Amino acid sequence: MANVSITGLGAIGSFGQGISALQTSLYQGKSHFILSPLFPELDFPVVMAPIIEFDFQEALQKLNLPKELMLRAEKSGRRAPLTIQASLLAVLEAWQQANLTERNFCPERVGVVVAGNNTTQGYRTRMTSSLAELSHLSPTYALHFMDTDQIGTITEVLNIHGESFSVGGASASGNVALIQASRLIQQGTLDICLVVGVLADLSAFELQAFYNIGALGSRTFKEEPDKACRPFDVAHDGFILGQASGCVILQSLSSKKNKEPSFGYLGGAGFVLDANRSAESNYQGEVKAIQQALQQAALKPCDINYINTHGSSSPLGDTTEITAITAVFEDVMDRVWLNATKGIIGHCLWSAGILEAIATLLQINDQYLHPNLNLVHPIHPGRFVGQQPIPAEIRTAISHSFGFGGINTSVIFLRGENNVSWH
Amino acid sequence: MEKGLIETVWNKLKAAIIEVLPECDEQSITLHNSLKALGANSIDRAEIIILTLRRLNLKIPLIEFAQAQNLKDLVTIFSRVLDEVDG
Repeated sequence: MANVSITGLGAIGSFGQGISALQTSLYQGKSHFILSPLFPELDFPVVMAPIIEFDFQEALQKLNLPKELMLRAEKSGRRAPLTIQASLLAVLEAWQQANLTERNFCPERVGVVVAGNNTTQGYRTRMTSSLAELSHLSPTYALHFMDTDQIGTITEVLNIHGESFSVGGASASGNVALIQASRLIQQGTLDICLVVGVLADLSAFELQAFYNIGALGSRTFKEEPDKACRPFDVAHDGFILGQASGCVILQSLSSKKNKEPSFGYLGGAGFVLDANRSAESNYQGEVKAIQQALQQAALKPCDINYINTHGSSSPLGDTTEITAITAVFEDVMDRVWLNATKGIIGHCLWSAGILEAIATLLQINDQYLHPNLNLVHPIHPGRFVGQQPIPAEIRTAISHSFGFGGINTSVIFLRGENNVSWH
Repeated sequence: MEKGLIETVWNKLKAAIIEVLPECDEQSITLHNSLKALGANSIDRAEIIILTLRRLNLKIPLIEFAQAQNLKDLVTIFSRVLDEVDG
């Protein structure tokens, strides 16, 4: 897989608009968790890191895109749901960064893989809950309710004609999408593939259900929202929702014409199912996924400098993960750095894997590791980054994502030759 | 039929057109023009009609609008039903 290069990044979330805003949040360990006022119908506290409020037109203008592209984006996205607008903003930032606004490309050789299923729950509830008459439902719901509206809109704005689709992997959707996109490139179907993580726009129903199965956190820290998300800490009590959209652009090395700096490479991946539909994490599945990734990348545990953990702040999930990591890394456990991006930006569900891939690449390129917020008493020994960022030369990293339904994924990232710094 | 009623309908229809087709020149939104000529595709046309229905708080099956040739025909259909409801 080391012939798949990463050439563009884009993001928007609770941290603000743009990769620089994400970088600042990560480096400074600045989170944006609040007690959300958006779900008055729920009788439990909802702590979350919501996406910043933005005006689509103003946000587009901040990207300084060529005029024609901006007009197309505005037309296609102006009345689109929040999830589409957020994806467009992340995609366009990445597209520009990869120089795709300037260079010629063959539209049939560019595609999009969107990470996320059932991404329109919040939209559906907003569109239907205040209808006096069902017949007054907007006809555009016919397009917007489908996850593939993401594909249709992004390819329309960017004139993309290559194979494109959405994939689902629950909380592992981001890694699943990266894996599928890299396969499209490796098998020669595409030269360039945009991988887009969809913002988690949940309705009260999903939150109520997550709460009912005990998965949702913040019972203990509802008065102090910034303390609620605590991956690997003894006081963790469930995942804390984050909202963000991210885009990673993959490109085959053979199609890169000049020595553009790349943010790194995909080195290998593991993708293993537990044969289990429940929400419970499984130690064996996680171990196998990590081992499979190492094998595919022809690496040994001692070659890995850093793990961007799944680290969801779930008691069972965190325990299973650190036990699995310890089992694989054994003797070199004291040499592998660990942190959890979810501690800063929350659990972004479908887009988590994409945001965490971006966080991994930013740290690799800028040679630091972000802090583990609220990690006061770790549940298990491990080389966890503390409450401050540290300088670190990372050459090889793994990012984990584990999803309900027994989905285990690990993706390996390698540093590129020309580091790209945001500082 | 009250003149005020027709004017209400016309204003709501016009507002819906501007909302769904902001690129459309407001001067060209006239009774003799059609949604298609203003640049509305089939989904836009359905959306403009349903937006207007929602704002007028009316229920009319979309099929009733199938024969409409221009905006005047649309206003007539909305107004007739609104008049029956009000009356």
